[in-house]
Amino acid sequence: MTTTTTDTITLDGLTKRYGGTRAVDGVSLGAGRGVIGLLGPNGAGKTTLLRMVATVLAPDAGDLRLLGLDPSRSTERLEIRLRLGYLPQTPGLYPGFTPYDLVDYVAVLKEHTDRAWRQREVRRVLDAVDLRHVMHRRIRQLSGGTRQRLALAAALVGAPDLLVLDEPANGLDPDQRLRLRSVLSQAQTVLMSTHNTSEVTALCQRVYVMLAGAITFCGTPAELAGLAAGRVWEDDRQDPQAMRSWLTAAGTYRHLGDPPAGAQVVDPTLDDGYLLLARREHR
Amino acid sequence: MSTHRTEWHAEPEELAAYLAGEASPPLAASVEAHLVGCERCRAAIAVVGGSSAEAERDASWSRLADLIDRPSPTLLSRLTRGHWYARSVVATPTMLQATLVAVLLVGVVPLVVAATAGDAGLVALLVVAPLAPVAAVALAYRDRTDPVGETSLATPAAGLRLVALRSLLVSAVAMPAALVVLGAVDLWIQDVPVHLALAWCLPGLALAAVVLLAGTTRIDPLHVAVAAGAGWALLVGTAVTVRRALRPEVFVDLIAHPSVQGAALTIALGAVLLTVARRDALAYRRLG
Repeated sequence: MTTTTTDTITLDGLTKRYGGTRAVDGVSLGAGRGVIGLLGPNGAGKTTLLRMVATVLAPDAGDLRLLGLDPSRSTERLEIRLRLGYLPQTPGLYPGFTPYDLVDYVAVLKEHTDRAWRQREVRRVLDAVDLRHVMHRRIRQLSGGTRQRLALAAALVGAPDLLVLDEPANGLDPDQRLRLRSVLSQAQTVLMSTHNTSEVTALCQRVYVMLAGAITFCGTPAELAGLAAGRVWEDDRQDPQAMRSWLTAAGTYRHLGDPPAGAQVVDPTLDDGYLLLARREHR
Repeated sequence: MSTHRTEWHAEPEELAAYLAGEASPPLAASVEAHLVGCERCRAAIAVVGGSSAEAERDASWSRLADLIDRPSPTLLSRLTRGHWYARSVVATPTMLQATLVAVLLVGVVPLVVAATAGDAGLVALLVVAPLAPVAAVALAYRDRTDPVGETSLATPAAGLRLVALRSLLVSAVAMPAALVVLGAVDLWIQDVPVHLALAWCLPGLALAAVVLLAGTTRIDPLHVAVAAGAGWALLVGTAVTVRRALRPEVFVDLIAHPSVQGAALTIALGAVLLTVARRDALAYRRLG
């Protein structure tokens, strides 16, 4: 995996162990501006990797550079944190606060001491996620999707140069997901994990696939889909020879693997490429 | 929002005055109460507001509903408005509970015992009072303490500064509470020598500083707090057994002795200095 000095995120042999388990196993990657997607099944190590990139967790081994700075040095880490926005997998927002109070509190933690500036900034980020109309309600009154947008608003405080988002589309309805895409498309550098391949297709310039703690694919969404070129076919019955088969909404079966002679091969999607990769690594 | 029939409807100029915040208080209250049940006037207010588009109407109604549903600020919210670090302590259940537990430890329990069993109450105070700052520090380390959870760990404020501030804020409530209780006991129940009343402060500080230091290592501060509390209870229990008397003088001899106080001060200073030196380990955690 090659990296350049202009990359916003540079990981070299990053490793994190929990007991005898390597949650992240020697991951190297480089990413510049744009939206970078991290795909992988549950337990692949995505959240641990994002926590290290968010400077919440120190790696056991390897080198990490964010915005050209080294988070293991305290002064550089402070600067990174000033320019970083983080949405954890489980935001855990205190239900007794209002959205306004909560985002203002995050602005204080980010050392924005000017109260007038904070007032404008809180309204700006709540507007960005369409929550200004509920900014004075208690968080306990808000739905799961609304809370997720609120956590995203907290991450956007100060227009960070680097956004680290752990499954930002969790709990969002289709309309809210479209707004999320709009918000993220305006950010400088975004590293986000997701299970949702449609988000990757719509948003990401690059995608990494993580399996069992290691990066197994790096490329564009089209390149990931291209892994399954010539290996996807459809017919009206199940095929026991296929690596994977599933019933589509059209009532036909879609198969992944080595197509039999005369099979009707179709164009692959990102899902096909990802499933093929995950299956291959699983073997 | 339920809709029901109503005979009166707000006039456009009344709605305009309401939207502009220029309606008299009785009119504003009437319009507000009416809008809750009248879909026609909710549509009308969107038109008065400058757009008849459905989306704009919904947005106007949402803003209005927010105005109506806005919760009254609590007393704690009013007291801590503009003081965000203080608010992060008193407004979150974990820290509020920590404060209450600490006050209960150093105040109510010994007071009750003193009122019913004389010297035993003062002994109980000396046993439990040093545990209040220990509990404050241990709880300040818990992840659930922060109103924004893990998000706070990725901010510049994360680390020793936030933990120390929370510990100090809880202790700043609990320790004066203990002295007030002792004053009350001295005034109404029995004499309390000043050196006895203050003897627990330095051991409490030393134990709390050790728990603070644990946060810079891989050891869970809560485990250290439990061990420190148990160790302190064992020390006091041993003293009672050896002296065969449950009297405050026993503890004056033991705890207020210059060598014990000096050792406590040394441990406290040493642990605090080590914590400051190792603060980077706290701000950039090795544990998950």
